[in-house]
Amino acid sequence: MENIMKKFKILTSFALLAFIVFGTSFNYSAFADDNFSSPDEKPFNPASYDAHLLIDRACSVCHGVNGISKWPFIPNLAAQDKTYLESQLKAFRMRARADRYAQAEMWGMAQPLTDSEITAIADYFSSLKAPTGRTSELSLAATYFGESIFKTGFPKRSVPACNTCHKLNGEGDVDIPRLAGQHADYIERELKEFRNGFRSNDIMHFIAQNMSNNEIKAISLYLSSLHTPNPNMPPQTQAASTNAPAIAMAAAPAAQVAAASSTPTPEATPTPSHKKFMFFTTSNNQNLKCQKVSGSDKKMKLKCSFLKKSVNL
Amino acid sequence: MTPISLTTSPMEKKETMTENSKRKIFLKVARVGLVAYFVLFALWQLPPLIHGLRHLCPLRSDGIQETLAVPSFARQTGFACEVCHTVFPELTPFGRRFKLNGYTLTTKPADVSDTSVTSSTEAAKRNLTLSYVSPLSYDVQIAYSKYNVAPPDKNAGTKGGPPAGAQTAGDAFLFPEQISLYYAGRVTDDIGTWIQMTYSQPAGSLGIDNTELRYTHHSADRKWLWGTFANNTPGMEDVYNTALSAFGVPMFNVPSLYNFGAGSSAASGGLRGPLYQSGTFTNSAGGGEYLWYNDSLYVEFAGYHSGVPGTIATGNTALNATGALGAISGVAPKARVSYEEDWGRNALEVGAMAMDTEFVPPAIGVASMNSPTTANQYMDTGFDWQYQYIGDENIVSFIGSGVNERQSNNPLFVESGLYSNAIDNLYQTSLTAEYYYKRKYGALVNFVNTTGTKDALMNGANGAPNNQYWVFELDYMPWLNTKFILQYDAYTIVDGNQSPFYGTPAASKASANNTLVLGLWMDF
Repeated sequence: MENIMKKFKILTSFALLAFIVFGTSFNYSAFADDNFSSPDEKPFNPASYDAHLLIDRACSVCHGVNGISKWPFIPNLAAQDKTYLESQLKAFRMRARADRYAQAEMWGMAQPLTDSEITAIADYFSSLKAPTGRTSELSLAATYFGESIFKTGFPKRSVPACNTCHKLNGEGDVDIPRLAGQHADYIERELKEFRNGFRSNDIMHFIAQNMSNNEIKAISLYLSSLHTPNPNMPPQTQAASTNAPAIAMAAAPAAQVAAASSTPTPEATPTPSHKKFMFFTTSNNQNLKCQKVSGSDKKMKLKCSFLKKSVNL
Repeated sequence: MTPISLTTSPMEKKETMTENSKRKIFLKVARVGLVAYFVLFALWQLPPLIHGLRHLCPLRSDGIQETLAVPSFARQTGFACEVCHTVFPELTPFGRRFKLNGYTLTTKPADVSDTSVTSSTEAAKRNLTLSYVSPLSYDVQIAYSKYNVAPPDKNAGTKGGPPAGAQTAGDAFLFPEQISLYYAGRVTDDIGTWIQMTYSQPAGSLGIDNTELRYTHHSADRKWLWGTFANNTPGMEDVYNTALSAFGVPMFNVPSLYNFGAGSSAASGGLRGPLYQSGTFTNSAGGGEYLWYNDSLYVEFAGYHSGVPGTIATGNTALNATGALGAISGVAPKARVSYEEDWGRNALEVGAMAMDTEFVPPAIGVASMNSPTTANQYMDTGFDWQYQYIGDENIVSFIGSGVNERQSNNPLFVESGLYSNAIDNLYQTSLTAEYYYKRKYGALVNFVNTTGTKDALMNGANGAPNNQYWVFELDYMPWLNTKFILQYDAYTIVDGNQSPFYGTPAASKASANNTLVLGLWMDF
């Protein structure tokens, strides 16, 4: 036993020594600040050292170096509209945007920023590759509700189609945010913040007031599953890029993810395979329940209920 | 010079009496005045004081203006405390990232800067850019505690002491129990620090508490983070809040009978626990390196050396000897591995730790054995886990750990009758469950169980080092930086339930140690 102890001691001492040597003599080329943007992305030309440092040391800690955040309640910034990013950062700075997380996190972060730093940050994130839509069994099911809200809204309830302003594929417009590929949690929360008025925006307040929690959930899940490329980037760059989102949805099979990422528009998402997928995963999801009504595997009719609403697929 | 009269005339006596009654009246008036002053102060000053505190800085997440709870770091980042803490001192996944990144995150411009700095990283490294504000903050803990049974007076029955069986006061009101001054935050772009000076009441002294320096660097894609640290307490570098960390919850530790009162007949140092958690290591100096991959895998190697060699025994110049705390002989290596998985609002950590210490025990009492080479070996191995659900309204944590300490006693000590066994084992399990509602109301249950090899010479009487206790806590946080604590410590086994502990029948049960605590913990 003592021998084992001695061996352990020697081993740990060696490891410690190796670590110290490793730490002091390691070639930092991979760690260098100057090597900030990865080759996959559009080269980042920081307006100033400060902005570079800001993104490296502050923004990217939560929002990710690739503009894709690890946490579902922190928004992805990749490929977000530049004007929108600027206006939001300025709204945080002057404390005009006052939803819960904005207050807790962004007020303090944005307060010392200068206009040129804000522009540089917006430049950086708006130039990144768009987030790959995240598909899950929930989002696939919600597609059938979310898609209709996105494309037609609820005209009788004064809820216009989202794509009226947020553009056809949810890529956003000048000062109108990109929603495609955003975290569902984040969209859901913000819609509720619009509804309760903590986040002030008259149009969104009016719209969100007329939406139920389930509808908000469905549209959020649908939007998070969209993969709309960054319009500011040449399509080839984006197709060649292999940068996957920080967390891949464990529930979605690889084929599904590949299918979702290779289709540039939501219209082209393969419906039959969705149905098949849903059929086989019904037992795992309490919110989603499907029953096969008729037909074969390739062309079947399903009766599903999602969040206590039923629909025939 | 006026001669001093040794006798007092009746006239003088009368004068003294009137003086006495005058004094009494004066004292009465003073007392009433003092009380009135405090009442008026409370009435007039508290509302503006509270108002002032509320407007010191933003904010509570529900949109109401509130104070920030992590003062130094909050001043640096502008974050509300809820960003890094569920409820202090427990960290959120982001709080762990902040710590592992060396406390450096900020968007505030550096104060000392040169215009040329803005163009190159190298220039920035050359021109040390210091922090905009000095990251100072304070921590105050106030505690009232009441013991189930008043501890027996240590000096009872001794010559000149109180009569046998006398007891000390059954309660203690420590105002403050502890005050800390922190310098915590970014020093340069890569270096961050946490320096804590603490005045603590039972000891009645001001001293260096937890202190740490970190230097970190990350890869361009933030997948790899490498850091090096130096601190004075093993586990201070740890980012989780299990018993393997120096910031394990529950952290509001009020003096119980064992470390404040008379001290037990068997283990006068208090309840037995693993060596690395003991006071010895708060005196040590150590450092290490860590590697953190993909926000999840953490590997650390560190080493600790005694900072204070202890008191030198008479006629002996060797390290330690009869010091109150003992000393580490040479360097004690420590290794720590942990893995964290975050999904949605959930975070789960599992980890392990090992530390190997050659330790010269305190107060050996045999001069010939006082040498840094005659040491016991303590091999501590432990594992831990921590699960957190951090919702907007509900926060739940389950924290657990298990530690095994293998104590190989020095043959010389065993021969000399200091220990019964060549090898003594100690196992400690700690389980904690916490719930917080809106970061405002909270409840906590903690269970600690210690068992081990019976060693009559080390532990006295029946030789068992066994302890078992529960901590029940209710918290109320009117602001994120202020915690009112109602805690009940219930002891079911103390020192293997040896009886009697102090020689008084009332104190002979483990439950005699039970303590009710009312506390206030504020950071600002």
